[in-house]
Amino acid sequence: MIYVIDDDEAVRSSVQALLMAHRLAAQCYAGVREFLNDVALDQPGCVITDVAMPDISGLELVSSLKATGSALAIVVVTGVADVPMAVRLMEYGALTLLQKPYVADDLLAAVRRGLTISHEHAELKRRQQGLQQKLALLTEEERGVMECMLADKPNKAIAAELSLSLRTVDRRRQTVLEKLEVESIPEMAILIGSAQLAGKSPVRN
Amino acid sequence: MGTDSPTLVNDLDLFRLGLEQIDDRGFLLVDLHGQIVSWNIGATHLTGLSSDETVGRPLANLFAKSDQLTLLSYFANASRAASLPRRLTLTLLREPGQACSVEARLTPLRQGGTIVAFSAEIAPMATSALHSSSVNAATEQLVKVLQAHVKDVFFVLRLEGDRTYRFVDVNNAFLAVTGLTLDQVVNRLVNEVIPEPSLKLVLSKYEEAATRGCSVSWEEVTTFPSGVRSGEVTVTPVISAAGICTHLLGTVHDVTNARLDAERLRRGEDRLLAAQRMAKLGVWDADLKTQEVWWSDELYRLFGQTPETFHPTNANTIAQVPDEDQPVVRQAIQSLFMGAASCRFQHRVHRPDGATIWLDVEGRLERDGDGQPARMWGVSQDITEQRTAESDLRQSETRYRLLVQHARVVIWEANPETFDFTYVSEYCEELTGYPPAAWLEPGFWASHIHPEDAEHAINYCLSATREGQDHQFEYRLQHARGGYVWVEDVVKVVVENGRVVAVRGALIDRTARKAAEQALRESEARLRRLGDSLPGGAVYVLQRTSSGERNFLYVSQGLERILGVTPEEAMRDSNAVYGLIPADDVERMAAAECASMTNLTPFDCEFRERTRGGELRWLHCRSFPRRLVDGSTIWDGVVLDITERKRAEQRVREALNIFNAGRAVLVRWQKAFPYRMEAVTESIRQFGYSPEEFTSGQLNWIDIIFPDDFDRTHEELIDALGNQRSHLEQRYKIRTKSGEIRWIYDFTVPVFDSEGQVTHADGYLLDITDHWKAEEALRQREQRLEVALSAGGMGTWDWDIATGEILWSDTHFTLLGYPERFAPVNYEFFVARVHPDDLSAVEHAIASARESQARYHHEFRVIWPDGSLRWLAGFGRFTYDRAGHATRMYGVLTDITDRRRAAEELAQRQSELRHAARLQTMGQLVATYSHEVTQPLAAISNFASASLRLLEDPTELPTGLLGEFVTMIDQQSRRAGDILQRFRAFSRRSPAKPEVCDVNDLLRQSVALLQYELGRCGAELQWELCAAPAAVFGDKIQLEQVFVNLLLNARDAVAELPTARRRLTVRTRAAVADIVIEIEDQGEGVAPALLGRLFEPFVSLKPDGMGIGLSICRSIVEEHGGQISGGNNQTRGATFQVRLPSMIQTHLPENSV
Repeated sequence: MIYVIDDDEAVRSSVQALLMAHRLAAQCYAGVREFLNDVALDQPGCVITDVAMPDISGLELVSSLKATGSALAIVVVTGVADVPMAVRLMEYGALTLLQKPYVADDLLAAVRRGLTISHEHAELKRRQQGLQQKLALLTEEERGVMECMLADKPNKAIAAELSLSLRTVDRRRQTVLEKLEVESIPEMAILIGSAQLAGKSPVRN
Repeated sequence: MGTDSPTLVNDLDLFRLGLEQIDDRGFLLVDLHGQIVSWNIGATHLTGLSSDETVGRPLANLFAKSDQLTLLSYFANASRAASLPRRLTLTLLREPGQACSVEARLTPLRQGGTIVAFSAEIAPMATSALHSSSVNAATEQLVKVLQAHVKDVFFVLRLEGDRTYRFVDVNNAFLAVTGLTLDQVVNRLVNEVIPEPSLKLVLSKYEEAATRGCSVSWEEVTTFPSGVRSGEVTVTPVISAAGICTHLLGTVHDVTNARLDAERLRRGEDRLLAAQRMAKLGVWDADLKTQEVWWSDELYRLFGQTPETFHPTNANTIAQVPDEDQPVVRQAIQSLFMGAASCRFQHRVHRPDGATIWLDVEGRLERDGDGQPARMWGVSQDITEQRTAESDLRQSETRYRLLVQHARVVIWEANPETFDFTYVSEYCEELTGYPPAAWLEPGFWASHIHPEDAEHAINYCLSATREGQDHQFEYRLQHARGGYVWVEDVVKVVVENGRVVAVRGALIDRTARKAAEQALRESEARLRRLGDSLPGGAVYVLQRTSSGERNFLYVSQGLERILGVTPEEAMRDSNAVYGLIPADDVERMAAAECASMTNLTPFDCEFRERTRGGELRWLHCRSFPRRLVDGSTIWDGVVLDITERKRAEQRVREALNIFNAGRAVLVRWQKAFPYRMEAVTESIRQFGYSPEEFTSGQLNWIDIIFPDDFDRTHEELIDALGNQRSHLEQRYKIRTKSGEIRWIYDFTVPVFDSEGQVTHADGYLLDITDHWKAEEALRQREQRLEVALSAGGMGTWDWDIATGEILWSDTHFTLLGYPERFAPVNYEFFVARVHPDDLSAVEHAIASARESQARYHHEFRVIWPDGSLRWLAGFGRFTYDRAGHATRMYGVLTDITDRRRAAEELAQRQSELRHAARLQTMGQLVATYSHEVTQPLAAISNFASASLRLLEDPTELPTGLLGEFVTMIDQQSRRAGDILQRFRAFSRRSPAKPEVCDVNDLLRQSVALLQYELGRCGAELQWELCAAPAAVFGDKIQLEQVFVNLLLNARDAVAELPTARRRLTVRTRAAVADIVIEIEDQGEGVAPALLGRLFEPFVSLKPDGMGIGLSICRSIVEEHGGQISGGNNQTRGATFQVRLPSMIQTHLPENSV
């Protein structure tokens, strides 16, 4: 979903019109607060917002979305841009900054990219959450075995390290794979690695 | 008395105290005016008000407005007519904003059919009415009993602090005894009711009762409206549970009447004693058995003794009686013992102080049962004055006789039957020459009266005497030496027992007076005869009353000849004459008249009067005043018309003035050309010629007349002679013997014979050269002034409005671009020179100066003949005739082109500076501008792209969308245009264009320019604009510049502050003649060092400021006739204020628009 936030009604509706013409559905908001009240921030989507607005500035919006780890991609448009503002926006994780009046294709491109990234980011996040749930099923002992497995240690070494019988190691090893719903150790390594990747911001690509 | 009745009073009080304790309903007494008299606890609970707050106030005030009227009308009607108890549901107002419904029952309390008060019971709606009505009835009953049946006065006082007592209630007896009304007593302080000197006593007694806590009684006498009342008063304190005296109950037993009786008795005795003293009457009483003697005080006084030192025994008494009177006294007393009922005698008393008095004594003797003398008593009266008066009378009679002998009056006595004299005083001989003996002969009186008077005098005297009437009349008596004397006879008729027994009288010599009267009559008649025949005058008799009113008693016919006023008119109203005296002479005439009236000196005055025909005539008035008994003054006088004389005098004076100068030349001319001089005075020598030269015919006057003047003068002369003109006046030049040219004034009078033929001419010649020279000098001075003016570049004009001709000085022509002057111009010529744009203003300025009689000052442009443009300033003034019509306009004109150009240049520079400042401000507004303008541009761009996309791929989407997008594009382009326009206007360099504008709109536009700037720093703007249109006359851009500047300053002041303080207030209000604009911030305020210099150039509030903004603001505001000021707020921040003259000088309420 695309969200348009601008206190100027004409600008707002023009953006919506543009998106509509390109078969993109958009929801409009006259202010940041209205938007925050209405929208689930963990859902993927793209926000097009102005900087100068009466209630909460676009800058504040960007920084707060970043803080909550939202999946939303943010395209910032502004009439007056200066370098310090641009730098801060980027730091906060805005997808891009467009200066008004912009070329419509630039906006469309930015929005499309934002949507893609946001969806990817959401997917990763979803995966990570799945992993966390699975990991949470593991006992302490199983977790120790899992870490040794990730370090690619043989069963014997694991048994020695953890002072366990080989049989026990083997059984736990089986339990770990079952709980993590993977077939093999490489598969498990991929699962955990990609989930860790999703903890980062989607724009850091 | 004071102890008996209070039981009843106490009952009432207890009852009332009981009522006051009722706490579930209000119970009040209300007087006839609807004012609360008493108040209970219940009422306090119900209303939250204490008795102090309510007693004495109208009951109605407790209730809602709608109920007040009901209550007021109830009280108003109830006191008038038989009224019934009434139950009302009212809205009780408690603390502000609180109200509750109560039921109020109002019951009139009657005494003998008259309503004297009301009880008011107020209960919350739920309370049982049955219970309240029973309480009410009980009170009513009690009050009725008290008011109707208690005759003694009772009253209730409330203690209000130290020695302050207020009457809470009194009964009818109180009012009846004192004569006061309920209003004058109830709810008033004791010292408002009881007058001094009783008040002091009363207060001390109250104090005693209150402090000692027991009843106190006393007697007091107080003056009330009903009179002086005496009463025995008892007050009893009411002690509260806390042991404090709260009330005093009092009763009074009125003893006035008893006191009055005693007083009257005492007075009676006093009066008797006083009467005795006044009559100098002594009373004595002797008990003959005990030998005790009693004397009244007055008798002691008459004897010059005192009861303490004098024992009135027989011997002591008789010792003070002179020896010669003692026998009288003894004899009288003896007569009593001999059996007389009373005795009366007079004797003298020698008093120890040496004085002697006469006493008139009447004595009586009383005998006991045995017929023995038991008591002798009587009165002795001082009759000294009476005795003295008698002797005085005797003496005066003697003196009267002497007077009669010597008076210049004949005192006579005659037989009332025959009118023969029985006595005449000696003066009769002096009066008539007949000795008294002759007078006493029978028939003397009747035979010596003037034959003309005899019949009347005798008949009158006879008839009056017969009727017993005193009378008085005048007649003439024959004198022994011939002739008659006028006498006035004053007759006294003596009547006894209805019969005339004697006639007495006095003859007074009236001859002198009669003669005077006669003379006066004759003189008046002569005067009048004279007056009527007086040719140029009139006689008059004028009366001036003591109140200053003038009446003509007589005016002769001559008046009409002089003034055209008939004597009848003058006598009817003296103003017909006095009103004609010109103001200049009135005062002089009045002063002369006043002096004559005061000193009775002749009135002699010359003054002028305007005749009916309007001609001014000189009058000479001369009259003699006399004073009448009633204080009025009469003038008999003559008024003469001396106009001719005055004129002659005037002429003589004029002639003398001329000849006295010694320069005039008298001439007798021959009648025909060459008009030789027949005779001429020596003064002709002043021209260097001798008289002989002219008289001999050797030289004629016309020979030396300056040739230029000759024809003119000769024609005049021929005309004068031909038309038999009375005289001829001419001015011309002559050449003296030394060749000098002199100016001559020639006055010639042709002399005609009986057939109208000229015989010769007389006249005089006068050298007026010097006079002429003076005039010439004046002309030169004028020229010099003109030169001075033209040196200063000033032209003069003089516009004769009657002829329309305008005289311009040379410079004036120059100023209008004409190198040389030409013929006089007219108004049309002038206005044709004026620049067409200025023409109407010039004409308006001239017309308004003419109308308002004010100075004309106007600046305007003219177009020179060569087409160049000049600025001129005219200063002028109109002159007016008596009727107020403009006659001339004159003034000066000056060229102010350079000044105007400088001013224009200055304005130009200023405008440029302001523009530069605006551009600088614009720099600060760039962000706002970009933001503002990019919004619509972005929208346009988006809509355009969207539209293009729709055109490429028209599927699926609703068809009307494209049109909608295009409409939006159109709208947004206009929006962008507007924004551009706004900023461009602000930064444009344009000449000032003053117009009517609304300050509120200007402020909104100014804020619109700053919207982004204000928003960016988070400043919150608060509007407090006046409702009425704030119309001013000014240049919108410049005023906006001021406001933008002030707003930017305000924003800067708060930009760095915490959010809560980033607040600006924009305020406008209409003062009487101004619109006041205030821009307030909550910042740190202006540094004290800068405060006084805020609007000076190069003084800046900001570290990076140039210090131009505010100084430009000031110059703009001042140019608009306003003021700008700035200062720190009392609490925090600064406020800048701009005052601009309002277009609407209005006092309309703000909501009227």
